Amino acid sequence: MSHISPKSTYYTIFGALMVLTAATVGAAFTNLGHLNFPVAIGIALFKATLVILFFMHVKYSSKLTKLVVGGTIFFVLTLFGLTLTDYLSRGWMASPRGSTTAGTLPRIAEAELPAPTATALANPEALWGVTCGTCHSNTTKTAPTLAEIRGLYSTDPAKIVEWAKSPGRKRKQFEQMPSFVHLGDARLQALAAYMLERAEQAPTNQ
Amino acid sequence: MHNAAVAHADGHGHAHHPALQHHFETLQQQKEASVLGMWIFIVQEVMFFGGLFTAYMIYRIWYPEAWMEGSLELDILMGGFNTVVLISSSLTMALAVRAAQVGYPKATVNWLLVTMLLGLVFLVVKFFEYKHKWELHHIPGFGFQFEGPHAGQVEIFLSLYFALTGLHALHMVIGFGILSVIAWMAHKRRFSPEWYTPVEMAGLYWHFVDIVWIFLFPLLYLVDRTGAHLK
Repeated sequence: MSHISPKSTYYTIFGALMVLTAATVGAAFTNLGHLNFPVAIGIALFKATLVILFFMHVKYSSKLTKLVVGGTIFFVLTLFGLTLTDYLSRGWMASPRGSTTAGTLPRIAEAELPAPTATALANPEALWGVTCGTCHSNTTKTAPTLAEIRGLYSTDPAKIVEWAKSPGRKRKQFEQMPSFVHLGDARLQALAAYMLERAEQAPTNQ
Repeated sequence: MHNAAVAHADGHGHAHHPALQHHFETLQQQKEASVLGMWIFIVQEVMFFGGLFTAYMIYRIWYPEAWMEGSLELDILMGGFNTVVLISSSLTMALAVRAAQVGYPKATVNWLLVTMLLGLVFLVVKFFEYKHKWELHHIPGFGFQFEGPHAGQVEIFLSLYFALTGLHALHMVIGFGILSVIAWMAHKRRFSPEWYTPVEMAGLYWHFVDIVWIFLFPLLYLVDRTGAHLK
């Protein structure tokens, strides 16, 4: 009544799975550049397919079972894919100096910035909230923390201004910081001073 | 309907295989339903592990160096050995189902016992891997210590390592329990070529657990063995 596979089928599939296991280990010890991950996943998908078709008898199952198995693979890949469309595309939006995290941080038009009056500069909290403060805090995981910045520049806020105008990128896990040169020196100096002040007050996650 | 139930109650007014439930026409139809139901269960298992795989994927994109450093901390010999053991146990499981299909209960029992033994070997190796991690203070949240520039991120990698392999190991333990019941049933000659559905269902579960490991092995142990990023 059910399909009975010959033992030789099972031994052949087992042999193929062993060869593929050796292949994936071999590939991991070879520097394939960006291809290492796709190769590892490709081999794993192929091994899983062999197990599903032959060990789990899906090759000989009803169309309904095949539909459920196919549907599962389709939906789980869809869920991975849709999640990745978000996480992989976060740096795509244009910014003054190329791609940035701050895809979510549109460049503020000069007209919308608070004018650099003495009052505004003495109290830069509003400006902070729409610029530095969108990424930097003491609990942030997407940009260096205020505590870390303070450790580097507490004696030299001019370096913060310099960096904000033309940011570098020290660590790969953070996205490239956009330039804030358009804010002008007066605002940047006020922000740098405010940043160091805030670094002392803000709670840390230590 | 009522009459049929009465007829049944007083000693089988109609003839059918004892395993055939009344809401199915034939054993074949009943088995199809069981297979489908088992696959629906596996679907939710896929979604269950899928959440953790998604977390793995996103953190790997965020912290690529930490993933390479963390992966090098895992023992590839033990991981590779366990991969061979688990795939072998899938072979013996498939042979147990086949023995039930062709009506060799003794062979079914023996293959099931071999499968359980291989499952046990896997878990023992896993235990020693965990023990080693404990000695190195590599257990996230319990006095975690790691030398290197990305210690906090390696801790995230190892958290996912323990969550994924821990849940996988839990599935193995449950599978061991299921197989021991099935082996007992086979020993009691409950199965025949007409009806061996529980053996087949246990097989589907065991193979699914094997597939999870087929993905876990490269994702955890083989992130970057060339050490290219360290040069």
